[in-house]
This record gives sequence, structure tokens and C-alpha cells, in this order.
Amino acid sequence: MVFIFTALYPEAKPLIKMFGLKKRADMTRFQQFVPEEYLKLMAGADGEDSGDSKGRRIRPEMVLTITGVGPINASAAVSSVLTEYDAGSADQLLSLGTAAMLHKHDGKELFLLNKLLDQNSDRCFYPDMLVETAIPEASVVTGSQVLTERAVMFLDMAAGDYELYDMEAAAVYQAAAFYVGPHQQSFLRVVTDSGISEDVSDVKILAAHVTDSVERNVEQILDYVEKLREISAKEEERMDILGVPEKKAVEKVIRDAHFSKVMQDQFTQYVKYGSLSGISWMAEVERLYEEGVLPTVDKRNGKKVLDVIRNIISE
Amino acid sequence: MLSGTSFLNKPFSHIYVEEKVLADRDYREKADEIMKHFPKAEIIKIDHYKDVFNRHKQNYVKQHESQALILAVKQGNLVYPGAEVCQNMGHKHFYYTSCMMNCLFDCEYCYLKGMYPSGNMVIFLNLQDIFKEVETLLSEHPVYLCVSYDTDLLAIETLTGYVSEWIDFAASHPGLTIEVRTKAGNIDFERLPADRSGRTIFAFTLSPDYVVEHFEHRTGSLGGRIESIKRALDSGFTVRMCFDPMIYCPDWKTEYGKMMDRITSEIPMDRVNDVSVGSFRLSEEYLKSMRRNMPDSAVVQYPYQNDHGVYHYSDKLTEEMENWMVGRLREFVPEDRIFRWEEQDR
Ligand code: SF4
Repeated sequence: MVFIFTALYPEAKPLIKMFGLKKRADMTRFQQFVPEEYLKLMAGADGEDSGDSKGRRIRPEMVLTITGVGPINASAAVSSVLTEYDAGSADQLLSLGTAAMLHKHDGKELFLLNKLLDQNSDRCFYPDMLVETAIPEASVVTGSQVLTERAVMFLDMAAGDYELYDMEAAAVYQAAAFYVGPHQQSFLRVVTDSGISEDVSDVKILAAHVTDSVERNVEQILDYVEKLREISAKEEERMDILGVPEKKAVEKVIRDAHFSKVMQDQFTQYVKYGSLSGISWMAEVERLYEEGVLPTVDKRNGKKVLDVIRNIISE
Repeated sequence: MLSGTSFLNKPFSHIYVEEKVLADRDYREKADEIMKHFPKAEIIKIDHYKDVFNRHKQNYVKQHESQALILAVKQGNLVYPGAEVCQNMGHKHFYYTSCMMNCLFDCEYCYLKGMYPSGNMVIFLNLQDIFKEVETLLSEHPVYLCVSYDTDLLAIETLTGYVSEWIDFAASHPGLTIEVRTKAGNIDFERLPADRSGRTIFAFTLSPDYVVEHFEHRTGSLGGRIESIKRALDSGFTVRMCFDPMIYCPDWKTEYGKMMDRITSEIPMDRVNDVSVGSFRLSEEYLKSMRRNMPDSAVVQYPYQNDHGVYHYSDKLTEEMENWMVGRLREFVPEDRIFRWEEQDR
């Protein structure tokens, strides 16, 4: 699953359109957008959490959340959404937003962040840079105030090593770090300004400008999201060693062999190894059923079943 | 076990450099030497290597696929007394040192995957400080030092030149014997200084083709490692062969048998200094973390037996594998030069 967070709707608008996402009407605190099929599925489940064929809770492939501006809003939203969907080791998070340019950067507009400085705590955070992309990289200072052009000039001197200024990145990282690792977090920023000039008052014009900036770079952003989707799907696959028939067989044997908890764990470990090594333990289990060894009458006979399986997979 | 995702960054596409490295002329020079091998790498300045290496919830496996490089200066203790789960090969003053953390090679069963929080590689640039600490120890007693510990130094010798520096250092310090352990194939010994002292031991870990192909990713093939041994002998280095860890695989006797036939027919065994034998073992803590991160690795998911916090093959299988290997070796190597990892060391 891919989690996308943006501060403002204008930043999210092009992505919502491209991915055909729909708003979750039941979410009132933070606006959330998910694939339409997910909404249908949830409606079909009659409001109750439905599970997939493996008994897991169904989650959308992607959820885009509008957090609101600033570090507090960003961390509250990230924390809430990652808790809600029970973020795990196969998930990927993308924080997409806008930033002010502190230093000139060859006219480039879109950046992948590799270093995030929290201006308040003076702590630095480093997301893993695993995805190969043509998007140039930059470092960012995350502060809690909208920067004026004058403030940018000051920061240019005070934080000379940093290229961008934003109001969410370091906060998103810190909140997300409670749920996911640095290899599961990416940060894309589109540069929209070099600090807001003090006379900007027309919010509509500002919003249109932000949407335009994101739209100009939408191809690269979509390409990046696709890669995150693939990583997430592959990781999901990698974590799931036993297929549905194997899992069913494991459950049945555990039930029929009167295994204790320790024996259950041993058996599961045996079959995991067996499956990974191409040893056909399922055939052996079938044989045990045919010969009447399974089901067993008690735990003592269950031990014999365990020994048979151990012998075929390891020695 | 590798994800096969094609769009992940290549190793060392990102290099993190400590500020103190950049601030010191000598460290900076060494760093520049290393970085010039990666002209397209993104260079990221950091305060301390632990800011990157010790982050929470890292995934060793994912990071290792796109391994980043961290250039740092090591502080605190630099040389350590040998750990109990390692063979000391009969040496009383057995030490090890890590001028790097993590490895370019990618053995699925490698304990580093359970020991370190990160799969990224750290190279410490203050080798001279390690030399000083070794000199202090040498003023008290002779020292046997494993220098390729927690890494495979030879795998990145072209980057660091550290093995060369260690060979020279050992040659000029009579009480010092060093061991360089490796799984590298086709090593170019011409590029290393000649060993004038005989106190540099190259220890080659040897595994059957099946094990190399399935579990020892990016390492030298068996043929390549045999070639390395022949070259090491020709260059006058002391050679140790390590059949440790022996890894169980279906039909292990045939696989190890084929390997032994090949080794004993290609290598003049009488010129090999000694051999070590041991089957795979690993601390409970490391294996647990590896099982979490590598659900798809057969060697990690093998149902080992747990004895007092150390996972190993069943006693029966351990005996069978190790006895078999020792039996084969006895045909070529005198008994007193076969070191077997003993139960009491556990
Ligand atoms: S060569 Fe040694 S240090 Fe490197 S991955 Fe393999 S076991 Fe680990």
C-alpha cells in the first residue's frame, strides 16, 4: 500500500485526477482520497471491515491525505492515517508538497529530498534513497512559519548547506518513523517560490500557481509513485511465503495433530523451510492422512507426525 | 532472495560523509580517493555516521540491495578481544578490528544481517589510529589480529587499499600476525605488497557451488576462490582454508564431496598452512531478527536447534557434517593442522 500526504488540496489535485481517486465521505478530520474500487468494496461490506481470501483486512492500494499546512498538522495526519490503516513493513509513504528555494538549482522545479533538518530541534533526518530516478536531489529545512522573501535571504546565510525550505517534511518523517522505516519514506518537493512576497493576498491565484507547478512535473511524480507501488507489492509477496493451499494444510495439520503451541511453531518453521527448499512436505502430509496417522488421537501421536515432517525436510 | 526490482539504485549511488572527514586534510584526501570511483554519486554531508547507520526500523535487506556508503572516523575502542563463537586457532592473544562495517558481498546467512541495524557500509578512514592501538598491544605481548572482521576487506580493496596497508604494517611489526578472511575470487595478488614476513594469513572460506549460488550472493565462485588460493600460494602468502560455516543443503554430502574433489585436485594441499571446520551457528538474537527480515531465505528459515541462545544444526547433523569434512581433510592435511570448532567454545 502507498500512503501519499500533501499539505494542501492544490498540491494533491493533479494526482487525485490522474489516479482517479475519490474522497472518503466518512473521513471528517483529514480529507482522504482512495481508489473508487475500494469505496465500492467497503460499501459492499456493509460498513464492516471485510477480509481478503487470506483473512486479512482489505486496505486500499493507495490513500492520499490532505494534512493541512505546518508540522503539527502534518504529524497529526500522518499518525492518524498510519494507525487507521495499520501501516506495516511492506508499505511505502510519499510526502509530496511545495517548497521555497533557498539556493538556485539550475532552474529545476521538482526535487527528491535526501536530508531533512527540523529547524526547531536542529535535528537531521535521512530517508533511504533506494529508488533510481532522474529527479534531482536536495536537502530541506523544515520550519513552522511561512517564509517571507526577507526570511529566505536570512536563511540563505544561516542554513547555507540547505537548498529548500518547507513546513512539513521533517515532521512527516518523525511522525511516520513510529510506524515505518527510512526505507519506506520518500519526500518530493516542487519549488513554487523563493519565499512569499509580502504583498501576496490572492489565495486563489496562489492555489492555481501551486497546482500548475505540480502539474508541470506530474509525469515524474506519477512515475515515482508507480515505483513505490511496485516495491510495496513485491515486498508484500516476499513476506508471504506459504500460498493459500499450504496455509490451509498447515492449519488442518495443527488442528488434527493435537500440537502444543511449541509444536505448532516447530511445524510452521519446518514447512516454511520445506517450501523454500522445494521439498514436497504436502505430499508427505497427504500420505500421513492416507495411512491414518493423521488425525491423531492425542499430542503424543502428534509428536510422531512432527518427527516425520522434520525428517523429510532436514536430515 | 534478492527482490529483482530493476529500478533500485546501484550500490554506492549515495555517499554520506562525516563533517570531520571533510574538515581534516588527510581524511579528506582518503575520502576523495574513494569517492572518485563514483563520480555520479550523490554526496550527503552528515554530522556523525550513527545519524544514518543507527536509525530506527531500518531494513538491512532492502538497504543492502542499494547499499549506501558512509565515510567516517571511528572513535573509542578500535581493537577488541576475539569473540567466543570464533575460532582462535590456538592463539592466546586473539583480537579483531573493524575498519569497516558491513560487506559488499551478500551472504544470506551472514551474522551482520542480525547484528547491525543497517545494511549500509561504513568505511572508517582513521586506519592510522587502529595501527597505533595495535602498537600499544604489541608493546605488551604478541598479537594475532583478524583485520577483515565484520566485513570482507578484499571485496573493496580497489577502493580502500586497506589490505595492502595491513600487509605492510604486519611486515614492519614482528609480534603481529594478521588474518585476512575472504570469499573473494580471482584476487589480483600482483596488486598487493609481497609478504616478506610470512605473518599475513589469507583465510579463504570455501563453499560448494550450490551454497555459493543459493546463499552467498556477489561472492567469488568456488572456481574463483580456488584460483585466489593458488595465486596466494604462488605469491608466498600463508594460506588457511575455512570450511566454516558448513551449510546444510539437500544432498549436502554430494555437494561438499564434489567441492572437496575439486579443491584437492587443484590445490597443493601440503602447502596449505591449516584448515578450519565448523557448521553454521548463530546467536538467537541475530537469527530472530534475520528471520523477520528474510522470510524468503531458506538458510535463515532452516529449523535450527536452540541451545542456550545459540542456534545450530541438530547434534546429529552437526557431527555428521563436521566429521565427514574432517575425515576428508585427514587424507590430505595432518590432524594437528585441522582446527574444529568445539562445543566448549559455544
Ligand atoms: S563475505 Fe563474510 S562478511 Fe561478507 S556477507 Fe559474506 S559472510 Fe558476511
